[in-house]
Amino acid sequence: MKSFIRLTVILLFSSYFSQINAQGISGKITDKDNLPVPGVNVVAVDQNKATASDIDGNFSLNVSPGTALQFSMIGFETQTKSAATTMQVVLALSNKVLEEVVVVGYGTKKKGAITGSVSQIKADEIIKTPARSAIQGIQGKAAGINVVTNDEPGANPTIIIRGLGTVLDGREPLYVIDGAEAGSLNGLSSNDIATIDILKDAASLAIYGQKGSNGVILITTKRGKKGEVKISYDSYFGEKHILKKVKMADSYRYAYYNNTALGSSTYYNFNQPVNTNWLNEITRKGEVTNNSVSISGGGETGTYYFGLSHYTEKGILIGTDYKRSNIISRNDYQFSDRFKVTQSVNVSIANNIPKPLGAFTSAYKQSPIVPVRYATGQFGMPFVSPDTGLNDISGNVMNNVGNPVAQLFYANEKNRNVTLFGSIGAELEILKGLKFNTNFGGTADWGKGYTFTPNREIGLSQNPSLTEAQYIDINPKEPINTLQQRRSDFFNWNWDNYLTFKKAFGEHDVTVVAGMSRSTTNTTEELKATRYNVPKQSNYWFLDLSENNEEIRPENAIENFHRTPKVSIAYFARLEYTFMDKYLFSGTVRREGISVFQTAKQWGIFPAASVGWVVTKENFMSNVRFINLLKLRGGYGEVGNGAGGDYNYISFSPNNYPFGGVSQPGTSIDAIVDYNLTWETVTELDFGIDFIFANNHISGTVDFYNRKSKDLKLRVQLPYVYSGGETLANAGEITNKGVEATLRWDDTIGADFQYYIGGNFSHNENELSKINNEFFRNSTGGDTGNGKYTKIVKLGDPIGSFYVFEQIGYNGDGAPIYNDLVDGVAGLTDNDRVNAGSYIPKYTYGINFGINYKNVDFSVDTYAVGGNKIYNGKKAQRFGGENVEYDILDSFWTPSNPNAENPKPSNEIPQPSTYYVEDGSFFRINNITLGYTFPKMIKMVNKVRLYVTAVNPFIFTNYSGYSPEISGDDAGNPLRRAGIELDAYPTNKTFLVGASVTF
Amino acid sequence: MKKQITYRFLTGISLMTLIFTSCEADLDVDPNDKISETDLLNNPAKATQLVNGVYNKLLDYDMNSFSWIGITSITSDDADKGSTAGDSGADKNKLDNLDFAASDVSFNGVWKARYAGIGRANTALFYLDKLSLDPGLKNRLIGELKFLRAMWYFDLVRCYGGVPIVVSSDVDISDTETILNTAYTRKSKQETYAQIEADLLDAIEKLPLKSQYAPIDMGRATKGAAQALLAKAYLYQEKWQQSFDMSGEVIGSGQYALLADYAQVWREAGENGTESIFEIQAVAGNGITDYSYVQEPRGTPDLGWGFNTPSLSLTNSYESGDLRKAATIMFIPSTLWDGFFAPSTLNNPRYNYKAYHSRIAESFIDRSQSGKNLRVLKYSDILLIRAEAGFHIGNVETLSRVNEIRDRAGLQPALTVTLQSIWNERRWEMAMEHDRWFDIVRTGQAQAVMAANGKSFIVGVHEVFPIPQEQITASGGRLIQNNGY
Repeated sequence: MKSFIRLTVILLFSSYFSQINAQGISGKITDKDNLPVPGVNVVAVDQNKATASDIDGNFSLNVSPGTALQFSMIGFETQTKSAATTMQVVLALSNKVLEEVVVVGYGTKKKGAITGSVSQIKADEIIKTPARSAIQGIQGKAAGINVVTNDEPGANPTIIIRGLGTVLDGREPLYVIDGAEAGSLNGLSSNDIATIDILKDAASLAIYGQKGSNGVILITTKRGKKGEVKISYDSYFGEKHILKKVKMADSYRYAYYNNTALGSSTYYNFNQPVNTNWLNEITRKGEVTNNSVSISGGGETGTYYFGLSHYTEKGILIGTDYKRSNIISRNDYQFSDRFKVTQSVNVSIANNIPKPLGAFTSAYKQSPIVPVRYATGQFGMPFVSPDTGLNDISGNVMNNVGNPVAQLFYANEKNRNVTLFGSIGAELEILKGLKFNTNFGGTADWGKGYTFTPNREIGLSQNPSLTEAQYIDINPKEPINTLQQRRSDFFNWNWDNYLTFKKAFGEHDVTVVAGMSRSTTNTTEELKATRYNVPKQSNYWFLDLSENNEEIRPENAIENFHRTPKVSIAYFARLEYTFMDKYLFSGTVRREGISVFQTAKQWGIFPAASVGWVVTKENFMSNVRFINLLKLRGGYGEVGNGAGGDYNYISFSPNNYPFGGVSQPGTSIDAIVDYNLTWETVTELDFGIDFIFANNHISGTVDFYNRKSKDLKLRVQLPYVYSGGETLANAGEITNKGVEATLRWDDTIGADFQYYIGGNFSHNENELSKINNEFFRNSTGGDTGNGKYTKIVKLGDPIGSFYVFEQIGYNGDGAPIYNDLVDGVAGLTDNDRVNAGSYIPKYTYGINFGINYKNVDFSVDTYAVGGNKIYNGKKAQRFGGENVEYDILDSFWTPSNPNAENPKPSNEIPQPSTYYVEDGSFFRINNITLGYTFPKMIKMVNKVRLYVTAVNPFIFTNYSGYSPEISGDDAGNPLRRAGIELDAYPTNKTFLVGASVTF
Repeated sequence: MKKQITYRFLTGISLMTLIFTSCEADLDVDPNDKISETDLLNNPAKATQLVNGVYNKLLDYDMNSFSWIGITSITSDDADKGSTAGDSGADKNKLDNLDFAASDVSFNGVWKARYAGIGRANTALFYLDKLSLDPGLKNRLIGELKFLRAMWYFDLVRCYGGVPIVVSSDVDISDTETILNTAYTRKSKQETYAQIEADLLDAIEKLPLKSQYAPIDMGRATKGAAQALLAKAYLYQEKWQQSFDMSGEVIGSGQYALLADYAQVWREAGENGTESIFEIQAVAGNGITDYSYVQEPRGTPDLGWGFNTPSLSLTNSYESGDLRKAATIMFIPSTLWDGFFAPSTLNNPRYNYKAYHSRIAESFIDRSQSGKNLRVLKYSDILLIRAEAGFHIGNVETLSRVNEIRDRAGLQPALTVTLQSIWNERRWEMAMEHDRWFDIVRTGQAQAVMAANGKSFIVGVHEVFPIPQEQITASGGRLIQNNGY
């Protein structure tokens, strides 16, 4: 084995070592076993001289004795020594990777001692992807974590860790920011994050009880270090464009297609004077800027970190605008050796102007023969003259699609959120080895917003042939405009108290953590009020200025609700035991109660145990030098999902009915309630291997897991006579099985050239593996807004499966025919739908590559998903008279072309079918960054780095739409539009330049 | 030193103990978003609200809107599907052509809404029993609930034949077998009617007359409404004498009379008028979801979806001079009663005028929740029931009742009546009012009149609609499909 390595090393370095010269000083570099170490970088600090050790560990350099020399090599601790004529340098093996600190629940751990599955992402990786949310920066960087981009300004990406384990409960992971539990990273600037640790397996998650089943993302913000004041400034500016456009038919093709559909040759004139490209009309070049300043430092009694940042984004959809300012302050006070207090406060102010994403669908569907505006200044509308076949306001209605430009023009919505979150914690060493920690974290959020709808102007714009007076005559009761004002707030908090006992007895290391946690969440209160007819200038958009409030719907005039808070109380304990740094054990238990269930069903116990064996620490491995680290781990854990449910009780909702011409209060039960409802529990078996090979060049991790989400909450429908609505019941089980692998190669060539190449791969099989309730009826979902649904939750299938009709050809008239015999009975019914795949990828992978050469750094990150399907909803949502894609005209059914790709033009509402289901796999270059760090020129300035980055510059996919990444609405709800491209914001590519300076 | 350690240790332990035991009671959270059962039962004022919540079900889209319009009207010879050729309205083309199947959504919508309504009524009865109430009020509320329940079972028996009968909401959710058996075992048509009669007889006992209600209670079920519905239920069972007598009770009550102007019956001005016996109440903004919208003209200007258009057969059936024709059928183009000009750019030549709700002259907020009341039982219906039942028991009181109707319609009095002439009068008087299909089935005219309309009514099958496939599936095969589907 040894000789093999030596041979490899000789081959690798022989060409390089031939150039070594032999003047000045010289020496030999060995490891602690006195074996020579070749290829060590020897750099004369402060001089522009460097060399590397040869095959026998020898080196020489033309410097004078006394010069500071730095010796560095991957896998060894870097050493600085002053030069001497003959030097003997012994390099110590570095266990840096193993010594790195990983954050786990209620404590930290050295990476080497971890027995669960944890991914860590560092600050430089996060800020490389300039996005509002740091989560976007994780995409493609960690195995088992599926991030779905959402480029709408102000929107959050969806994140799924180790497969979707729930249908109705919360899907979001728990975020813990410096000990404060949070539902999202909204309000935190990526620049202020030091590390993100992601707990993936149930054994690691069990200590978070009911909050842990979707994974826990632990955020550690930056903190000051003792020493000099450090000032950092980061800034970037970027442009955003649509990554991938869909070419739509032009006026001629539109006329041709629709005439064919109508069986006419003149309904639409083939010579159209107008040829509107609607997508171009509603989009623009987006812009993103970010400026951050931080000041940090500290002394004997404490450290501080203060950050300010301002992020702005103008979306590619005209009018969208997002701005966020952040202030963060984090202080650590060291009162004595035994007592310290940590405090952090973050304030964020976000202003968001959204625009209706339906404009994208309208732009897709609206005809190119409609002008954006007429010569009169009125918006173009879909009317066609029966005489000329041209767009004409006095003609017939062509379709039911609005003018997308008008849609944006008349949408006036603005939202502002002020989010304050922070934590305060104290640590007291009661006895040597026994510490008490208390930590209080809270998030307060205040939201306000308005929507102003100019009803009359909109109505008038849709009827361009009418004068205002005529329009009012027909619609005398329609308000001139409607103003809605909204206010909301919430305050969620958690308070954790725990004792940590740490003791080493000879070769035994024991750590015990025990404590409790109390939290209150789901505290949102909303107040909305609506009135008619305020003055049209935006400075008057306040309710008191309404001139007419008589006939607004009473239930909409003022709406106010408060969610029922969710209270949780938990006790937890963890025992960690290490013997000879080689045998590792960790066991946790959490007992937790949550208020959302009936008293008898409130409490659950979540146990977990995991073990690790560092094989390389065994004596028999000491001679195997090729393997630097080999660790086997395995664990089992149970963890709950209490995130989604609301209070489970028989409740009465208002249901008014008008008697005597007046709406009068009424009430009824929404649905029968199952008092036996309780937690969804995830149980998981995880087996993993961590390894480092080949002189620390290759590192990697492989994990296998099998997780079952038991007592899955599903909506069941009792007979309507017993329950008008659906009832939540523990009715099934989801299984996610998968494998994750991470591999990375790090190396240097010579003194100046370092590089790495890394990759990660995850494969997940998702299945609804059990249904145990007779009233479950294959919940349907994926509504496409035209009375059709596309998804069914069915036993044996992955969650999010598309269930559509199988198109098997065209009939003699060019209309699609569907397989109607799936259920064995002729005639097309819902039982004939077939599983056409799920929108959730079966596998994802990322490849990352980077080099540093002298002052230049360059990196490429890629991300890919596969095995997923996309439902092309915008294409399927057709009523007639709408535009079609350019390519459809290249091959559609005619009597002479009966095997064409596309059916005969038709104005029928299409059946949901396999025709609209497309392969959603893609491979994308997520990030290319090129940076240059200036040599130190001014004393005050430590570092100046300039960089250019391309985010998502290229995508390779067979999907025909704008984007194969569709998070849908309602935070990726699998029963809504996740995976359906309809009213979806296209993925962007961004090009930016930036600078970071530290003083 | 040792003392100090002990001291610190004790401090730590007591601190933890304090925190650990502080707050388990915090898990008892009072709801903030909806009223709990306990709070409902502690508040007798909620009794009326519970009953109002049952009425609220009448406003559901599935109860009386698209699905109901489809299976009661578009099926019949009075109406066509309407709207544009390409818009099938999910299954309305199949209803129009009488080639529908069990999986068509309209059948399920109608079934669901009615059973959900019956469920609400059962639940309200359950809670009324637990609330301490003024006995008079309690009686009346029970009467109202029984009327509503009977009305829904009457719709179900007319649509599907004998159906499962559930009159209690008390159920153990884990007893799956009992739930399925009770909810999905069909009873015979006779048993269903027996339930309807029992509920209505009890309701007649408990309910006050229309005039005994305060104006603010206008729209609640009355003694007259229960009697009228019972008269109709007897008519459908061909219990002629009982139908004759019960309709006589209504007529003799002195609560009702015909409006002078037939056209006013379906306008806002005629709502809850003297002719009204029971109508579903709507106000702008809290109306019968999409009832008018589904039927109002489609095209330019676009007022609605344009479904359920009066057929040529209906249009041509009227005697000349019948005022009811122009009040029932909106002809395109024309200037409507409110002055609105309905131009020829609208898609269909005729629309259901009774469903038209004026945006100019009537209360209006939005198209989906118009203020249009739906007339369920009206005095002219009772007069014709009296006439038809009277005919069967020896031609008693037939001519006078028919002529009351004809007179108001601007027609010459008839000199003689036949069964067919009573049926014709009923067609014109009740056109587009959701009774035509049931009437032609009930009277055995269906095959002939549908054939005249070019549709083939299969005797022995089409008398009832198919039990919705979704319900059969949900029942695990317990629900038995009707013959021929």
